[in-house]
Amino acid sequence: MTAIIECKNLTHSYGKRLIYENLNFEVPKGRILGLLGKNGTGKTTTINILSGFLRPQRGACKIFGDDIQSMPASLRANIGLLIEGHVQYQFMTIEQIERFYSQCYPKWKKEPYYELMNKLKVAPKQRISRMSCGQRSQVALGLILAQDPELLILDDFSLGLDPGYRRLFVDYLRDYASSENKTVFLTSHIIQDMERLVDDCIIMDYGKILLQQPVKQLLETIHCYQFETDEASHIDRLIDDNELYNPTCLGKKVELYSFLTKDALVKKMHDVSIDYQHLSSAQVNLEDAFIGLTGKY
Amino acid sequence: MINIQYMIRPLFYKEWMKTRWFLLLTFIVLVGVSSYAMMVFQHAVSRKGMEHLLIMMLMRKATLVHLVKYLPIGVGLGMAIVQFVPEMHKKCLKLTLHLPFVISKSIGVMLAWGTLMLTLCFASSFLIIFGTLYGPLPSELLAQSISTLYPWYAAGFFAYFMTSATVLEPTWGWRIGYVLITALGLRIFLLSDQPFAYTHFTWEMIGLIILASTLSWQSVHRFKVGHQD
Repeated sequence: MTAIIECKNLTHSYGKRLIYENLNFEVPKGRILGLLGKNGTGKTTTINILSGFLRPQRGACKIFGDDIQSMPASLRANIGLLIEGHVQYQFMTIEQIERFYSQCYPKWKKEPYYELMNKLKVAPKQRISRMSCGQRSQVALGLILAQDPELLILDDFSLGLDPGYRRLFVDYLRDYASSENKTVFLTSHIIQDMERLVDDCIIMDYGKILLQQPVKQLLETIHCYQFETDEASHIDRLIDDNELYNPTCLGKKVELYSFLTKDALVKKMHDVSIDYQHLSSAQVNLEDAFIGLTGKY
Repeated sequence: MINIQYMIRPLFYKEWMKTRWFLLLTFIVLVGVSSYAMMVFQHAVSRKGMEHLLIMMLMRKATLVHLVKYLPIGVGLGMAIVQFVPEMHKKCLKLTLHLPFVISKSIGVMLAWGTLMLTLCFASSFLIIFGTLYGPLPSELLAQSISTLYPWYAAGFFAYFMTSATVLEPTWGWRIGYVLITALGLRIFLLSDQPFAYTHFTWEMIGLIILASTLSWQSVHRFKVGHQD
């Protein structure tokens, strides 16, 4: 499958604080990829690099095969960018902003934009500065749909949106991306939205990528195991095991996440001599998997 | 590659949206103050006679246009603020830089809009003054008044370019540096109100303005590559 985004050996730091080193990932054509990570793991840094607003200290990012930093201006017409907070020109009205962008983009289709605006029941002369965050998000989305780019880069698209607007945004985007075979790279703090929307996910931890795989595959293979033990202090023996993620202990109850099967986990606990009772495995959603892999803190 | 003529229309439209009310106000103020200055001149002529006025201009180097002195600076400063503060609000400039146009040309077109509008505003003010003084004053004294005026208009352009660079600048260090350069530069432009004081400094003034106009590109470049404090 053709890679629309290719990032190789990305390294960036702010002052002495290293954000990540030798980060590598690809986004294939026609996929919706969500970047998940705790605050400070470098999500916005990655989006800024991808949208050309930050030069990485080392490594390179290519979009459509061209290096982002030296990309021809006309190629930007094929990239729809949603800035964190659904930022748009506040001094324009619904009508004026459409008129402005329509002169910039050769493939401009105003119908999806006005269809979305009609749904919101906003007047064409309404100024963007007087709109709610939810309404602004729909304006930003409508403009991206009208631009009709091959690649959409969305930074924290759910920021400040109530559940209704989040759902509207996700459903519209999902439908558009799948019907038009668009590639989407996005971040969000609301992982339930990501689960509804993305095909693949990248989970970032401090300084590295923990995994990149289809969400379906992740949710099928990761397990949340719970058991009870009288030897809670022995849990330390599991902490350094790189096949077991974030074992936590509350009283006698232990919880951990792993890609191991139940039998493999039982063998491992036997090997490190941990006595346990009531071992159970629970199905997880994307948020559980994310917390399980990256920890609560 | 998108041709420059295709980018002028949308970018000028955007700049018009931001600046139209300010331009209207500026036009009214500049035309109003220039007209008022000329009414004062005409009133003085009718009250004390033209001869008295000519003597005053010759002996005391009076220029009749001092009311206009700080207006171009205010207009240049205001224009830059009205044009570029909305771009920096919530980093809206990212939207402009993401347009499918060559970034340096986009910045050039935005600055060209400001320069063009300032030229029109200053020209309207200048034409009122020139039109009023052209008949009654001998050419030497007309040149004397104009020689006092043009450094002030030049200061307006300098203030515009320096304020633009300051507003677009992403780092505080450079921003403070630009403010200091602006203050020093304006001091130079306003050092003397004496007629013909800047006659031998015209090219230097033009040089300073051209130099100031290039700083916005530097600021945008720093913004683009992610410089921050």
